[in-house]
Amino acid sequence: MRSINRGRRRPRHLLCLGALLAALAVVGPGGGVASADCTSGGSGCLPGSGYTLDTVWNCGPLYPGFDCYANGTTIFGNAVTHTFGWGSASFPEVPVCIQLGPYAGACATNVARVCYQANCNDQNANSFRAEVHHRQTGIAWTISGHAKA
Amino acid sequence: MRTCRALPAFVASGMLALVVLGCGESSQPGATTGGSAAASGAVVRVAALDRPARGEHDAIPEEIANQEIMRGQLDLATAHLVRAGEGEPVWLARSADGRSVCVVAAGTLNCTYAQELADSGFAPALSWQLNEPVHVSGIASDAVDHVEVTLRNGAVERVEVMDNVLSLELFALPRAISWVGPDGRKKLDYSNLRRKTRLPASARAARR
Repeated sequence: MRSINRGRRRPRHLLCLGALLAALAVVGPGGGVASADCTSGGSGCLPGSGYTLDTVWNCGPLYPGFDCYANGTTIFGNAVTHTFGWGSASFPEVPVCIQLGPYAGACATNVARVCYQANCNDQNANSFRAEVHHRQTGIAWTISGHAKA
Repeated sequence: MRTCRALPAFVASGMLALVVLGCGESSQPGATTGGSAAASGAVVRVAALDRPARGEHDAIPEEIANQEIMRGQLDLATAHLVRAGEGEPVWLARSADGRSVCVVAAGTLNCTYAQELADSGFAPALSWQLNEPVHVSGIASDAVDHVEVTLRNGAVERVEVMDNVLSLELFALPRAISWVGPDGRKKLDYSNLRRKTRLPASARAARR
């Protein structure tokens, strides 16, 4: 009886394992690595289907010196890590920065956008955190972050 | 005792300031619109944008204009090439809604409101990417002809603005950028930015 049950379960387990592996292949650490040329967001890339994460976040009022990570948290350990291909920070009239881990970043007044690579070809394999902050002394602003991986 | 009585009032006023200054704001990611100053119809003189466009010479190449970070953000017909030759090409263009001025290079887009630019005279922009030098750029109104860049080693370099754009490449992030605009001296501090990757020593030597 026990062996019969095992025999019935095994295929289901295998199916589940296969599904799990397939899901990991899509959304796992390598999921942001597009297989196609994503320089212009063409086939296989957003607005196609290459990116597996499109995230928008803020942490509410944020003082300078504090980072707001993708996921809407100021806590480094709670931030989502991914293979971000590009990121954006924005707020009217305030100098803002977007940082894609230690690898790429941009600072500007109002809108700062940057790709992980200069050609915006999202083929990166590094996982890291994306964060925004502002540099307006002494004032709290709600900075918006936007990134895709 | 006096301190204890004052504390609740201090906390309350701080919370009120947070509500006034930040809680109600919700700027759109990547948006180049919004903000009271932007809506006021600023007039800012940026000569490089006012000269007639030189057709293909000034056009942003498709491979850059079509990058996803640019899509829908720019009025491409207003693009002007403001730096060519050695180093990375840089363009100026108005935003799609006409309220901002943007500086464009491969893989990076930085925009500032016309009113902001009129008030401060200069809007610095930095970008850095994997295995690339740090691009220090910025948009200047006609009122600002140079800025001062404080390097990592503390040295201060005067950099001339050409065609309303500051453009230089460094192998490390600058410590600060300062300038004198219509509303006085301004300084933006970047000393706490971090960057992991650096150019190989040979590339750094070649760029000095």
